[in-house]
Amino acid sequence: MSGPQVDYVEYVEGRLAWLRRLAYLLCQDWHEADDLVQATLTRLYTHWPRAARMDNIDAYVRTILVRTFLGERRSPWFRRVLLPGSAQADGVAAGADPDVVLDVREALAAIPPRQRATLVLRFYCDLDVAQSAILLGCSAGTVKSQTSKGLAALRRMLEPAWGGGSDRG
Amino acid sequence: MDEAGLRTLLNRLAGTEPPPARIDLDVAIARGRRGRRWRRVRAGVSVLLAAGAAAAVAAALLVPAQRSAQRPDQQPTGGPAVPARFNPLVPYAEFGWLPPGFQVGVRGGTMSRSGPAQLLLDAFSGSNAIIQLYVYPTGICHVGHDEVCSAYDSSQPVLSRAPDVHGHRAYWLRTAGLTWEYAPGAWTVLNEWTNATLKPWPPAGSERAAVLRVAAGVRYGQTTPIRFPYWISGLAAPWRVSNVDYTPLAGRPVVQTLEISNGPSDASRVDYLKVDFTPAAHSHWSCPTEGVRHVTVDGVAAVLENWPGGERVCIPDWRGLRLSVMTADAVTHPPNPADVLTVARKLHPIGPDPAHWTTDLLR
Repeated sequence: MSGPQVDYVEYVEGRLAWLRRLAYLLCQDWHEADDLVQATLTRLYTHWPRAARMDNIDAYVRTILVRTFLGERRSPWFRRVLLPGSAQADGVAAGADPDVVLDVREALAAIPPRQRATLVLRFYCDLDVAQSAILLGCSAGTVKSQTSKGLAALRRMLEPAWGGGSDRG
Repeated sequence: MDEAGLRTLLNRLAGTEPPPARIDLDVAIARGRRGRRWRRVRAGVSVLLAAGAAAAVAAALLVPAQRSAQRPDQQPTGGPAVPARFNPLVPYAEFGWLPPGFQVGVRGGTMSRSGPAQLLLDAFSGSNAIIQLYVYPTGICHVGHDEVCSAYDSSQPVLSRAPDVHGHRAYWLRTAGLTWEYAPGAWTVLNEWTNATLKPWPPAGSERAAVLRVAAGVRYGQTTPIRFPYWISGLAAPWRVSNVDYTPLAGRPVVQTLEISNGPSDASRVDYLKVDFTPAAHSHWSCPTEGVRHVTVDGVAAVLENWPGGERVCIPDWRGLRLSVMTADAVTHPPNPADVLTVARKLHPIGPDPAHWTTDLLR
């Protein structure tokens, strides 16, 4: 294995859990998330000589992942690849309320992919409006409107279960 | 729920216990290596073109690769009459000119897709080079600082004004694209397949000329319907054809995958079902045999396969066709278990000989 390839493998092994979590928030399904991560890592390897010289590889990989996700979802019939024996129920984090986790997952899955990606970038990745706009390839205004619409949609779906919006965690 | 509440929820969801990873790093490296080789080829071609040393290549670009008898400059300049929604069963447009080496069809792994609010045409060059054309009916796209195509939640930043296409305004898009208003209120977007963030754009020299020539060559107002190896009876509302993946066969479009849905694509809860087929003798695609339930469709043996969030009915041999009906996008909610079998039982296979296929899909 050559030096750059070693660097690539080391980077991926170190960041795989983070990438899977991010993909899971976008897909709400671990198996689809793994498909998304697989596609992302393929593209990353293609561009690794360039990516490896970047100051912030994570940001670059995150961009690949989100754009790959949105690229797949632009067509309503995106292909879902399931490997044999892969079907199993998603688990729940220790200490988390299973009902709440399922509610949130279903609510996120029910909003359009671009709104979902915007919410994940803003409130999980903590990107600001300008950073999100660059990553998504849209204007700051679009990010604001997507954020607003996404939050409103989640609020509509979750508030009955959340007693008016307060965090019962 | 406020923004802080959403942060808490997302972090909690991200903390969900994951199953073992299915990531195959060796596969990613192997495929990524192929991608690198392709990028090197592209880079080499770009250098040739930029140096002006590729007079032969430039000359070759003037030779139509397909449909050479029809010249793009015969396109009417007034713009065609464009409906508010396309008929998915009749692709509205087609490529008129493609650079040498490009072709339309499944041979390169690409297909065109016809839907009511978008027609996607793919042309493939043989080693992962793809030209994609998105054709929209009137009222879908609007161009300002961004080009926004509402039905597809798509927003692409406009870079600059491009040369008019048949007298109609056109713009370069940041995402390696060119868009033009081919008729009042109706837009087409052309994208070159590559990583948009890495590709110099707008293109220059011969590549620019080729892109503009592809754009000028697009033929609108086509009326040739797609042919199907089956027909469907009694498909009741709200079910309707939402997309058809197709490819040319002997110069006429034939279906690859039919997609039906029970709601508009921008609705929050929509079921999508896909109908796929292949000749039963085809060896590369078979029905699953394990973990399935055995059922019958019109007296023919079939299997029903389930997984979290989706299902598929597969009929191994029905009048020489292997047919499959599956949930295409069950992310939003669990599918109705009756759907795939219900739809499968409305199918009427014709057989594997394209000479007998029909354009009268819904009866």
